[in-house]
Amino acid sequence: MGKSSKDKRDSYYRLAKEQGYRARSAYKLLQLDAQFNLFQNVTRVVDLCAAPGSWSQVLSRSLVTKGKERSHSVAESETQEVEAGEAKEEVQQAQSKPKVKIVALDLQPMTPLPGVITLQADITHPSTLPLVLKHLESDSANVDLVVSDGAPDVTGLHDLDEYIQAQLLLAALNLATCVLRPGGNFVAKIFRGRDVAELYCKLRIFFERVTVAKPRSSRGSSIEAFVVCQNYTPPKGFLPSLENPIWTGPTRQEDIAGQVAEVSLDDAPDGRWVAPFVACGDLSEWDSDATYQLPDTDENGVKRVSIDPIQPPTAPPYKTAIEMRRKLGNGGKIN
Amino acid sequence: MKSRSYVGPVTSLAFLGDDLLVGHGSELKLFALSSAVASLQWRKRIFRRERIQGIQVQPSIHNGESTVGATILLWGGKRFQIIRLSDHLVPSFDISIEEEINAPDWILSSVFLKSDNEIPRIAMMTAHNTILTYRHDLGIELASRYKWYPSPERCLLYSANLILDSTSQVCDSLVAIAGTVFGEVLLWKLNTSQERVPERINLAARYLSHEGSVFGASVSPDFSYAASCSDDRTIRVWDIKADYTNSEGCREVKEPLAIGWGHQARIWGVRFLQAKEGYLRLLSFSEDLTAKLWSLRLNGSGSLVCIQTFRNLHSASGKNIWSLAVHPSERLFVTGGADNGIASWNISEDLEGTPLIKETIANLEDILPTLATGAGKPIKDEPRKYITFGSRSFIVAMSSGWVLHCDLSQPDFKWQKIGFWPQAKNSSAMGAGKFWINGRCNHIVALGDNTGKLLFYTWHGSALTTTADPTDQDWNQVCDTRPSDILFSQHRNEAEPTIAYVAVTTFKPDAPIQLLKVNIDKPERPAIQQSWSLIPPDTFPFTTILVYCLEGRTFCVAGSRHGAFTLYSILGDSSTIKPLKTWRHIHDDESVTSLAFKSTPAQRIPETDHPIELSLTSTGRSGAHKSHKLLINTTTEQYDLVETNAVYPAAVPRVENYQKLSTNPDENNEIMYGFRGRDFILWNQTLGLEAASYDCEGGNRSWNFSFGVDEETGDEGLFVFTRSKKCYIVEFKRILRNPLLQIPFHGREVKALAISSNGIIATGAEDTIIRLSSLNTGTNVLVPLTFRKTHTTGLQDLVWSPCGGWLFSSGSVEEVYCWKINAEVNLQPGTVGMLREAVYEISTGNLPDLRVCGIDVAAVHDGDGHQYGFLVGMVRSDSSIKLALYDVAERRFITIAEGNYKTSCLLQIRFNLTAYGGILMLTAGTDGHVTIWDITEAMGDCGLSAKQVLASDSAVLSFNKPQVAALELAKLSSEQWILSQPIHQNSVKVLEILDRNDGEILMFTGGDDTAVSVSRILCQQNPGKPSTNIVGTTTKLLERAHASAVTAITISSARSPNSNHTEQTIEFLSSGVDQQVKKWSIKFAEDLAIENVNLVEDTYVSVPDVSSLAMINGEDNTRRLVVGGVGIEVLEL
Repeated sequence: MGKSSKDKRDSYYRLAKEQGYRARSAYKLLQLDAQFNLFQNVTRVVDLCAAPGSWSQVLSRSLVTKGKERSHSVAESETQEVEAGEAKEEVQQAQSKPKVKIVALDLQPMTPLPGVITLQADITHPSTLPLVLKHLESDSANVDLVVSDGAPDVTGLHDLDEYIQAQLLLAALNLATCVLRPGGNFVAKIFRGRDVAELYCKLRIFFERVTVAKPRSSRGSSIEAFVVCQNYTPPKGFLPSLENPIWTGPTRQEDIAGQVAEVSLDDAPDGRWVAPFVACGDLSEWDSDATYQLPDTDENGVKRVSIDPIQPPTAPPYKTAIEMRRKLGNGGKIN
Repeated sequence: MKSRSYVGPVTSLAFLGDDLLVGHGSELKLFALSSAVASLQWRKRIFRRERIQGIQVQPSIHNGESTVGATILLWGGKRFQIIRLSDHLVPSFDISIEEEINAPDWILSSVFLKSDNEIPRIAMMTAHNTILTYRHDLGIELASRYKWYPSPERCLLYSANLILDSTSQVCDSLVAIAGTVFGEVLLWKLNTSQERVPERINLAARYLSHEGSVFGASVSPDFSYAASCSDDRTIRVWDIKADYTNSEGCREVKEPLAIGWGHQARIWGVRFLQAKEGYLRLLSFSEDLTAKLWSLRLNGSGSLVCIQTFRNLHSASGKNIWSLAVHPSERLFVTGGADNGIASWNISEDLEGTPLIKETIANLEDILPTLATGAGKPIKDEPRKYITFGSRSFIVAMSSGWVLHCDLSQPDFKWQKIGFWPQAKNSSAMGAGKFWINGRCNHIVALGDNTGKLLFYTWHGSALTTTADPTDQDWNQVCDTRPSDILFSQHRNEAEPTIAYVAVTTFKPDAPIQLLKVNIDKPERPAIQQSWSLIPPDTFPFTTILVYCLEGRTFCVAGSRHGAFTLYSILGDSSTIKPLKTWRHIHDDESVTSLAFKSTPAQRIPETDHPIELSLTSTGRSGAHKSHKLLINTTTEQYDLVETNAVYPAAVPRVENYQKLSTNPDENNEIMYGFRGRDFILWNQTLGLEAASYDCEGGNRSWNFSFGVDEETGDEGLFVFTRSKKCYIVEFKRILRNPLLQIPFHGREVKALAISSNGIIATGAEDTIIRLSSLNTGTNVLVPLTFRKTHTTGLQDLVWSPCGGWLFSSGSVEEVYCWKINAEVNLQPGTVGMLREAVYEISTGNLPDLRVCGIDVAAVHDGDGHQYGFLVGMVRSDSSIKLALYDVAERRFITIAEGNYKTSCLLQIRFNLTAYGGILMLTAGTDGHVTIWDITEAMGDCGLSAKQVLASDSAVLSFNKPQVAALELAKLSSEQWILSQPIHQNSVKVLEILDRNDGEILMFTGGDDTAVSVSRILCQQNPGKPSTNIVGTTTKLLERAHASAVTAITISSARSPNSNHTEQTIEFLSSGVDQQVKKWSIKFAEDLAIENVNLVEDTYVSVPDVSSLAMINGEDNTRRLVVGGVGIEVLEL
């Protein structure tokens, strides 16, 4: 399918290119912020599973570039500058607001972003924590917001995919418990599958308010949604640790009893609790499920040109296989 | 609600001796493969929620006697069970799903250890690269039964294989091989026999070179090699000998021993076979629906070569083989698919060692001299035409005029000359028919020469019965020019078993065709009893004929090279016969390749206009196999041809013939054969699989094929053809073998499910296929009836006409099809016709992704109360709505109204007709609103009105406008909205309505926001007009009704003690992505109020991604719920 037909199918894909975002997922965070005011009074943020970096771009633009004057509405956003020009401006502004710290982590390398400290690191590894704290120039947990848009490549076996996604979320939660200040917030991608109520229940143990949100930029046919966990209040006596993380399998013999038993809450004795749902993003914004009739010319009568994505997609793991097939000929058919 | 049957992915397989254990959903099944016909012995539910993802078998050995019974370890997710079987063919074990055991983490692999005082012990490897052991001592607390070992490296795994090291001197020594999310393969060892847990365990080796997640890894039987497979579409083989014995820290290996390329998608698993003749051998299975056998030369630096690819038994347009198990003999293996299918594959050859396809090349130039004594060796001779008799003999006409017979039942094939007729040089005019003497089938052959003469000779089995040396008198002058073809009618007329009908065609276009009635009472001297000249219709080159005799009347149906049919009535005395009627484009403009009657070819229909109805089938190069009814009334001279079924087997784009075959009376296999590209294909339509294929370099050559004719050769076939002037003889054996232990269903998730008024379950899936099934209410098993792969995109919606005779389907790229479903009373495979009658116009080519998300259908009658067709409403992803009339007589859609809602995607549409003649339309979409449109006036402009025929009946639509062509499109606009109510926060995933009469509509919705709503909507007629006014609505919103999106609702019962609405009890069911089915009961109150909606029942189903629910009534008044998603589950209410 060509670029321009994808533009029609996916209005957020087109919008992301027009507004200089590396991926359409940027709008999910923008719409979540519009609903929950996530960026208010935020100076320290950790972005987990950050590559290719669209959420970090949103954080950088919202917290560094525009500060508190940021615009909530996607439709009104005027950011049209090219990356390079924007970068200079942002660095200057970042210098004038030295307080804002954005740390982005991923196992994959990430193209640098202005005002963002990008680290290539494993979020589950114990050595990652001191690294993050060092870059936050802090020796204590004082992060206001931890976000994670990480998702696995789905296999099609729903139970396995949901388990792997839950493990990603719990790994992010474990890191969040190590860096969040009391009262801090945590936002993560979640698959609303058959056991999602168990995950909500676990999150509720650490946060006063747990809401599940579906931005209008996330497709209705997709299983994904976002948990917005507000006001971090760990249980008394809880010791966060990446050496001995919770709910990610036993790391000691004495963990087993806890791992074979179900978590429970007063109002969810069976360990299943359903978070309240909020659809976010205004109805007047683009509908990610709708097909739009785009005029061939824009409002000024200029012929619409489909622009290239800001960053080409990362090479798929089967890239070499395709090259091999091409080399072997026979119409790409091997046996 | 009790789960009664399940269709879905097969996630685990293991052999137990010759028999097969299958993990299917939460159930364990045992198939006996040791018996002649593989059959399901028993099934047991093992887990409450988990699917069985792994099976390990430990045979029990009692006092050195033969092995009876076994201990079975089953795991799925974070649960496992250990069960003992005393005799596995009898389900003697007693297990309850409550006994499932919690594991502390997700189990990827598990293995039996040496049992401790009869108490089973196991080891398990989890998704965090951790090994735990477990002692199945139910007397102690769960956590204490486990022993934890430190992980050499805690990381997230996609795959692991834990193996008991049989080469080790120490018992309970384990080898672990694991594949990580990040493309690493890890090898480590662990000795679990010691009481003390080591403080630290090192990795033995780390293999780095995969470019994506590693989904499978295993170790060779001699522990010398490992293989891994990945997202990167490769298999990599590693030499682990050094690492396995090494104890000095972890080695990093960046170069695999060999890389195997060839799978077209992700590879889910690899298994080693025993090395053979110096070659390492392994099997792999993939997302691309194939399994592959690989071979690697052990000494030297050979490459990993795929030597065999196993394909075509799983749903062709699906995805994923999920499981594989190798028979202990290693001569066969089985695979389990995402499509519910379990297929058995032979490695190299069949179990008895006989090849299923045998090819022989006969060089006739070498054979002719030995035969051609006296006649001299012909120069530049080549085979021109073949006729096969059953599966064991054939004749060939050579361009020189030689005719030879070959008997394949003799060793080295016995060739015999029939004759040498130079006057038939270069003739292709040779045809064969059958005749019966004493119930025995015999063959008659007609050869045409270049002057218009015909010679007959007959065959009794393989013996030539006609005089070997025919004289000139034996040649019958039939036409005055060289015949082009000789076509026998292949129908056996019971009244005259020794009569054959033959049509002789010539190269002259429009010249009459001679139809001969040949009497074969005396097989040694066949005689032309009578002949007629058939006048062909314009441009009608004959390709096939079929003759039928009924009470002195003889009818001849002919098919043409341009896809047309024509009908002749043969009357004894007239010699020149004109066609009665011709039907064009039956097979588009392509050759009609065969014509045959169904088993009961004709019936007289009293009290109708048609005294005779003939049931026939045809195949054509259009790619179709079709069924037809030919209605003949000679009194009124009315002749009608009605198509009742059409199958376009994708595997055989060029269909040459169709035949029903069986080796036992209980089975009836519909076989079609023909060509696909270079291959000759035998396609088993009943099993939905390719029975055999052979590369003959395409169908444009001289060839013939026939099936075996007797009991012994009943599932054989003989294919003879010419390639490079040589005669190729291809024998097919065991055509009807069924390699499927469990039949495939949809290869991807079901997106729409609808049940007709006569109990046909229609399912449409992401695999672009529509399937029709019935439910065996005794066994609760889904019986496949037929399927069509006609849509080019995943299905969006399916709706039956209220009468059950038509099905409407929608997909993306604006695809909306109307299907005519012809079903007999007893729903049996092969008896249901499914015909795509019409395609809704595709208008906007510039929106390639425009999806038709929802459809609804209402019956329309004409002014006289006869069926006219349907009103079809379609809502689409660009917020547009189209309303069309479907005219069943003309078989076409006529758009009558269109408009837009807003700009958001529309998902749902429902029509409602009120008692006073109002036509209402409900729509809903991603904006969470339900909008009610009063389209009475707009429909009135199109000639549609709603009428209540009887006070007790619901209203029906009536169409009163014969001049449909002159219709002006009615506009749908917001002016017609009489209600637009926000109910959900975002997508309305399901909308159902129940007309409670008296103007009250009960509306149910389910949303992505996890809520379910119930609304009472009271409609009233505006004074003096048919238009509607909504006088009141009440909505009860059940927030967080499910843990995830609510995608399906169905009304399960509406019982009313009297007509009082308030006292009526209405129950409905809802389900969604959380895989819970919930039953709700509505308590009504006065004044349109809803007092309460109570949860009555809540059940888990094994079907992820639930998309649809539908109720079906059994004969015994029991009611069942069919749940569609990734698979199908049937629940009894």
